[in-house]
Amino acid sequence: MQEAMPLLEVKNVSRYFGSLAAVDDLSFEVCQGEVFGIAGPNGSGKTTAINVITQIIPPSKGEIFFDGHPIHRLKSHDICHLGIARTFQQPTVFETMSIADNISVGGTFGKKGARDGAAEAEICRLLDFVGLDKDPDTPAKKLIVNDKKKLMLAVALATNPKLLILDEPCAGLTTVESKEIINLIKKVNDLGTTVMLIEHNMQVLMNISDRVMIIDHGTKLCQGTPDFVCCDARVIETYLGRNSVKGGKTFAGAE
Amino acid sequence: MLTKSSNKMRPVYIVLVILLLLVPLIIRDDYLMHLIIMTCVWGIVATNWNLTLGYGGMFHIAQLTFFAVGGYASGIGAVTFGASPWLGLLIGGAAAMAASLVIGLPSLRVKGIYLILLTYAFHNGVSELVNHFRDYTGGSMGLLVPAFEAGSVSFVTHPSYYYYMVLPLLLFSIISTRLIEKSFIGKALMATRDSEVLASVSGINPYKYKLVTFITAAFISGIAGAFYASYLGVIGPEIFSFSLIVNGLGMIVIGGMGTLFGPIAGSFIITFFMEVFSSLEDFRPILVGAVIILALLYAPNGVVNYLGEMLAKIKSRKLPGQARESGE
Amino acid sequence: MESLLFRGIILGSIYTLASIGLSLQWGVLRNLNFSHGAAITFGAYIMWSAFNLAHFPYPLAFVLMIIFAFILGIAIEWLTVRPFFGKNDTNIFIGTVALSSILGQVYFLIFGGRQKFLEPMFDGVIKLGSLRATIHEIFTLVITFITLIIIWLVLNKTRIGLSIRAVSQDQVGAVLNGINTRKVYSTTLGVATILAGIAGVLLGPIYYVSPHMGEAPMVKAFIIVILGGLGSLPGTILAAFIVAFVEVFVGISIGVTWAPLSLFIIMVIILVFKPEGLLGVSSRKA
Ligand SMILES: Nc1ncnc2c1ncn2[C@@H]1O[C@H](COP(=O)(O)OP(=O)(O)OP(=O)(O)O)[C@@H](O)[C@H]1O
Ligand SMILES: [Mg+2]
Repeated sequence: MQEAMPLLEVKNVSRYFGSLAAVDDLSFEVCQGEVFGIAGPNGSGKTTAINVITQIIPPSKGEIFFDGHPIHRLKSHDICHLGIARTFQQPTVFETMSIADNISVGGTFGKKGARDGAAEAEICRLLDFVGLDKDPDTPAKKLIVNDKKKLMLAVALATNPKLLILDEPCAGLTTVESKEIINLIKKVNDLGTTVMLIEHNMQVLMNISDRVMIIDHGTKLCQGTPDFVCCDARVIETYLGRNSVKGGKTFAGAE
Repeated sequence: MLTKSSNKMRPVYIVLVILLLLVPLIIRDDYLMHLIIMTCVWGIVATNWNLTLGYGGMFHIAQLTFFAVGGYASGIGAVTFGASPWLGLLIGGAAAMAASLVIGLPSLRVKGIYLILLTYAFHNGVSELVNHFRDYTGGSMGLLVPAFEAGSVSFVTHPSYYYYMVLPLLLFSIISTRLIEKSFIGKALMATRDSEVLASVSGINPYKYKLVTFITAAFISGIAGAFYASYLGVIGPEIFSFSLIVNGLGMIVIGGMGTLFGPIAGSFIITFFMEVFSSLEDFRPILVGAVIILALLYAPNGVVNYLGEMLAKIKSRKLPGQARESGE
Repeated sequence: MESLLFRGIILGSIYTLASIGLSLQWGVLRNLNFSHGAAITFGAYIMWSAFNLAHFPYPLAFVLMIIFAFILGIAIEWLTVRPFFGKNDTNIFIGTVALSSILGQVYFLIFGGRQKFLEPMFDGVIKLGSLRATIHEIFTLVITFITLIIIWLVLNKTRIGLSIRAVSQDQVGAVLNGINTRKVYSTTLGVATILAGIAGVLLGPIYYVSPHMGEAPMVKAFIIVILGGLGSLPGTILAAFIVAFVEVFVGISIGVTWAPLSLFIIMVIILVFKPEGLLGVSSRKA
């Protein structure tokens, strides 16, 4: 799998907020078909990195290629049409719209030129797939946080992406709920979608990822297979030294 | 579910339209007719404003700029170039559309307070332009705009003729709002209103849909402005006044932002409110302002929603079991 | 030439006072107040009444104006900001717009539509070389300077000032540190309204006092805070002088009606190409 061609190539990308370099000369590749994990302490620039990839925030410097296309000058919606979908760290849905309408937004606008909307069967399939057991006519604002996360995932999947980027999908969930989400991610990946996953819990991340990248202060600390990354001294220092409470324990658990 | 309920409502709508068509036959009082016509004019402006503001989440005040541009364009067309007021309607609509491009192309790239300020700047800028080119616009005196005529019949003595002109425009505004709401444009618009970021990563180009809606709404408002100028016979710089912005916003807020009939209810309420309290003269703007603030505080979803909730409450009291079922 | 420069400086001072209140308010509340113009008018009318109706001496009238303006600011916050803050920004906008129209009409009812002349504290003209200046203009400069110093002292040396700065830097952090944000919000609006009132008092003798006299300066204040970068006080001061100079020089060289038009063009250009303003930090997206 490591030999596969890169689906996403990030080359020397930086993003500054005033004098703060939230992402600092970052380069990495995500290969076709893999699960690419990203971890790093709070404020290390993980979210900013994917905001830059999806052009929620334009990069200050650098180039990004997806499927051979340069995407660092495109707009978010064009990037979606090329096949990148994402979720947000904060559960974000179209609050005033129904569950079905939420999903059909992804289906209607996710592909270039498509206007007919997602068929009812497709909506039911996605709801079933993400395990959201609610009446499709329920307004999204009535959902609890966990269900909003599932709905957000369903909206992303409705765009039929080649690459799915997930920003801490398990944050704030119970162990059982996390397991459910992780299984879901595995299922998505098995169906051929490349996944890029940001996750704080090292154990979870090491389990599911084919490759892992650790970032700190917006730069890459190390990258490789989970086993390789586990043994990297700098990672141990980052997680045990500066972020011992959160990362340390879970990192030790991965051993 | 939605289609079912609108099917059920269809006969109601048809009866309503027939009733509206019969209004001039029932109401014989010219002044009352005048008020109804003004309600319709403001209803058109508020409905279109609500399309962009309530459905599209674009918080702007350009709707009155379009209204004014429409009025002035048809006025200048008539006075300087001798165009008939009928042609003026088209000129007004086209000019407002052009203005909406000039204003919308830069303005809709920003949002929030920036959008408000930018459209406010354009509103004042257009008003300054009117002041600047006083040879064409009449400056502070304004322009005298000729009335509509059909053959040799002037509409001035026939308020009902005006009514039959403005009513289709109002119905058209409502229908176009409804059609946009139900189409993929409306879906994109409402998604963008709810979360612009999620909308754009879900493949929606927010700018495109905002602009399309903005221009559509401007076109109809421009026609309404041309109608207004010719109906009142005069268009002057008061059309840019702050109090009209207040009234327009008040109509939307009091009626219910983002609802189909709210703005019309609001324009009805404000127009007749101003009339009922006409003896209070200069106290009226204070009352209108106070009503707006009270509405914001105590009925933030507008009277239409308020009545809807009341109705639902009464219903659920009568048929508890059934209501619970449909509420699920 | 010098006289133009001088007029630019005088106008710039008044615009500074008219706009830093807005900038301060943006910093703290992330909102702008459309009754700011009515607050400018308020200052002028209170001053006029205290001076011409109650026959108070000028300094006393001035103090009275400051007290009333502070109360008005707190009322504005209580009525149109507090109920909607953090929930619905558009309602704050509509609320302040409605309040502004109420206030304008109240002025009209009390004082009538006729323009009133607000006498300056000092009458007369002095010559400084080739420059002829009214003493009121010099007074304007002095008052602006003193006000700015007081504002600086309040923001940097007093408890409430430090709270205001803390809240504008980090809302959540301020709450966590036990700052009473409610108090900060109403004080901020009180201070902003005082500043607007002072601007009104200084404008009174230059233009006339009328129910809607504050609206044009408010529009300019909006342009200024945008140009300077929302929430940036140095940017606001810089922008106030830029706007004043543009107005004076365009007015003289091309024509008076072009001055406002050129300002709108500047504002549009700024908003489209650099919405964070000259000295503003880029605003948070998403
Ligand atoms: N829009 C913005 N404006 C200014 N600073 C920002 C913005 N977004 C992020 N930052 C800053 O950039 C840095 C990186 O933030 P980012 O959200 O990318 O971190 P993260 O790795 O996702 O952290 P977490 O684990 O808490 O989600 C932080 O210091 C943050 O304060
Ligand atoms: Mg993050």
